[in-house]
Amino acid sequence: MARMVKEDKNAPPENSVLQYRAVISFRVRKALGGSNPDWEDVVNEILTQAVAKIKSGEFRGDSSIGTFLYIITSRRIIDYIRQKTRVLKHAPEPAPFPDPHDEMEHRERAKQVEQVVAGLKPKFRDVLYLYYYRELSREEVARALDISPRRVSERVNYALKLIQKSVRK
Amino acid sequence: MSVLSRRGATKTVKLSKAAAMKKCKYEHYIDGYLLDKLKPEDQAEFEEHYFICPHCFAKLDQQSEIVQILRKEGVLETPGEGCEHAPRPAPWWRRLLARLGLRR
Repeated sequence: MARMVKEDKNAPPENSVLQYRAVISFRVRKALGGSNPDWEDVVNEILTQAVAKIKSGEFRGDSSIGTFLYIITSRRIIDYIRQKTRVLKHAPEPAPFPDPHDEMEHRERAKQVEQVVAGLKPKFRDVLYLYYYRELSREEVARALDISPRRVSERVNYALKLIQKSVRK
Repeated sequence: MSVLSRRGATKTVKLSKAAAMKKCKYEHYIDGYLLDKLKPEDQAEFEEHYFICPHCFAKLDQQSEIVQILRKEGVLETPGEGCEHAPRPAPWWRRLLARLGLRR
């Protein structure tokens, strides 16, 4: 995994900023929605803005570069949402534009997850169903299944571990 | 914008061995964050945190995809018997304790 916090003062700012591309992308996709085709442009704008700020000396290193990028990212997301609500209030949602390679990998992993889920004992599948699919809280799942919230956490964690093992690349 | 390469932008981040062994106090926010169940202040705190914590971000990234798959129709929606919110029959010892008025 890319080291996100190692900062080399002599390296060009692009290098240190680009190490955060994955984190920024994640944050932007979470806020804008993964199917929003604008997310990649927003990420690129954030990266460009960050590099420019570092070059101009606006980033003085008082905080970590991660915090600095977090602030830029959050501000850009707020701006984007404001802009969209103003301009595209009644516009239809654009169709998603997924990368075919990523799509294929995702489908492959989805198949693996489905296989693991199908092989789980009902007690684990039930917990996953109520917790992730029906979006109940741990306490609600516990009440529904007549088990303790702690047991719910244990079952969720166990099932997730099995799934993670199967999709680990 | 040649320097801002698209490669790897959406790839799931691998957990390094060291990161996998370490446990961060913010880890318990991951599920709530992915399911949008965190309080706004906790959400903001966690978002700021994962920008500086490679361990949490790697876990978040990996779990995010799994949760997304689990929430898709057809993966989990056929739960095992007795799961339709109806509580399963309590074990004999719980029923006994309940009858004795010691619990529930």
